[in-house]
Amino acid sequence: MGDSLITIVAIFLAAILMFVFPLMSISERNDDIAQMAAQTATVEFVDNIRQTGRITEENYSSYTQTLAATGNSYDVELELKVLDENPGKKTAQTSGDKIGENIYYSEYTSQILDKINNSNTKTMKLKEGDIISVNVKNTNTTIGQMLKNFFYSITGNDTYAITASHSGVVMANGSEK
Amino acid sequence: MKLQSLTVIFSIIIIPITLILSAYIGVQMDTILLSQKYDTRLIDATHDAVVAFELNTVNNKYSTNADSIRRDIKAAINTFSTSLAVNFGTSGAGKNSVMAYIPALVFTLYDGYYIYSPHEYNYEYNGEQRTGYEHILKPYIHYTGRYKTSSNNDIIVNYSLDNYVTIYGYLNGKYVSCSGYLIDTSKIEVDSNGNVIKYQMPGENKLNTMEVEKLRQRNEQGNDIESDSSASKQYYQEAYDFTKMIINDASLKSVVTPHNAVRSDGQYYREYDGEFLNDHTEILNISSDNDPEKREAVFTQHKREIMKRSIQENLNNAIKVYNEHSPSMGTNANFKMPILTDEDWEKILTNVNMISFMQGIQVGTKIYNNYSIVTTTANKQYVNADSLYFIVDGLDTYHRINCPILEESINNNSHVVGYKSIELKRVQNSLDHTKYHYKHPEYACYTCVVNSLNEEVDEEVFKKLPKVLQESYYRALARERYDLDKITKMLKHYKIAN
Repeated sequence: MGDSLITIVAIFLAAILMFVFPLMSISERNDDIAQMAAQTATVEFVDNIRQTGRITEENYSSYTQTLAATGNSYDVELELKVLDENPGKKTAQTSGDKIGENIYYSEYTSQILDKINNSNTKTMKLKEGDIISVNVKNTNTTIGQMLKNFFYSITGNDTYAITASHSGVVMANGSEK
Repeated sequence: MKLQSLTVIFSIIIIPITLILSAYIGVQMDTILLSQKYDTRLIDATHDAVVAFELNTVNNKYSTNADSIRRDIKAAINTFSTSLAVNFGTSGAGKNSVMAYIPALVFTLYDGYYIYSPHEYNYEYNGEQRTGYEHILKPYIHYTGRYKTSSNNDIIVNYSLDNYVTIYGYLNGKYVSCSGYLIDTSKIEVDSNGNVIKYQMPGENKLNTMEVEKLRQRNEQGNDIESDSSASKQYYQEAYDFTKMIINDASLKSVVTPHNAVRSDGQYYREYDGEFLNDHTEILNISSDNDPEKREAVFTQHKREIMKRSIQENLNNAIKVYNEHSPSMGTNANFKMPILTDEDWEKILTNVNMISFMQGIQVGTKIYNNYSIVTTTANKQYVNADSLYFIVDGLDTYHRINCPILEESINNNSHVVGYKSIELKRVQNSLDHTKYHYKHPEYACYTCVVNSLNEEVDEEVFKKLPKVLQESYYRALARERYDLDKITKMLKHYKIAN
């Protein structure tokens, strides 16, 4: 009787050790690699925008394709802070002894993509001083997440396995070739 | 064997493998992420330096003067090293801690470039001999091509980012020198005395670019000062005369060919380089097919080839010195020059840039080696055709040439004047350095300046613009080019003596 109980326990342990543990470990590595791919692609995408001053449809779609190639689905958030020098200019004129402040206003993913799609050249041009930031996180549940949830049952909207973000000041005027 | 034993053996094999694998992948990821971080730091530091350079040139009246620009560049280098040190968290150790990893910084300017790289010093101070290596800003190197057929015919051509050239050397045994702008003379209409009347551009319109322009500028006291400028008129006249003189000089044209191009070591390019082999095309034979302002012209192609080779050659020398002596600066790496892409060369050969190289820092399992190029968007060195902004009387905003709002608000008699972008930046007051003012009170247009217009200004778009705008554009471009202070400008009064 005691022996068969131990056998049952052993079978459970064996199942966990021989199947679940390797599966978890491999799926976690898989997420790590997807994470790295996403981070690398995001940095490249943002740095390219910063150095050329342009967001092109070509770059954006190749970026989303690189992300999709990791086998997950992602939510890509673009944010562009457009530098408006005019308020600073007004301030400097009225007081004369104060250095003008620069004010930014933001445009987000859908507005940016609209602008790209509506232009003849499928390009959105930025200017020096604008700030671009890109945030990406996965929207599906990866196998790694599923297994983790099974064991530690972490659920909710804020638990992403794969996130990447990068941002920076645009360094070139896109209108200048 | 019992199931339990199998499980234990399996675990003993698999667990270490997974652990090692995950550690290995972790290290690889860290390497890649860290080198990306370094890339970003390098780009940011370069950008900071470029911004410092722009800021200093805006507020330096003499920034186009060679000595004065050295000061601005040294200040930019200072910003670069400080910014890099801060980003690396070593600001306390001083900038020398990071500069050892910088094989070279290159500043490409209007008609040449500066290289900042380590060099040997050897001098006596208070009876004590001092030797070592440190970074110095090397002398200015012009974009020059040397062309030689014999010792009697030995010509040097200084090229620039636009269509300005300086030519000097021996022609038929006599010393000659001249400088000026090369333009396509078939676009120019002259009267019987050789005076330029009109200039024609892509459209059918013959543009009147010869009027005296009325410029307006706000001074530090807030008063608008009007002045007349005939610079654009002089530009077209002098460019026309200069180009005619070059075209009519058959012996000069026959010397300046890729076939006769000589390297800095005195050897002909043609003996080593397939591209220069037996190409007898006359570079200075300017015509509508060889328009120096067009990218596809033979002149431009050759100029770019010469500029590229010059930068490569001198950079290689600088890096050779760095490699030989890097241990004395605290690093020990064999720096291999990264290959610049065509896109990078396009940037370098068409604009004022700063290029920074960084190598030798240990990143995870690898050694870091990368570069970054940042283009200035506002400087006094070079007038890019796209960096002109236009102001029209009665409108309180400034615009790009193809802005729909600008087009709507003008009529045939409108007074439209273009200024280069740097004129619209905030400048420091000359007496009270805590105060700033703007030379032009107009605000940036929200359609075309704050948000860039997505349309390219190509020939098709340009043709459709009203004549007033086209004229204003060519006047502004000519004026800003003519007003650019160039050290070789004094040569313009000399003629080629045959």
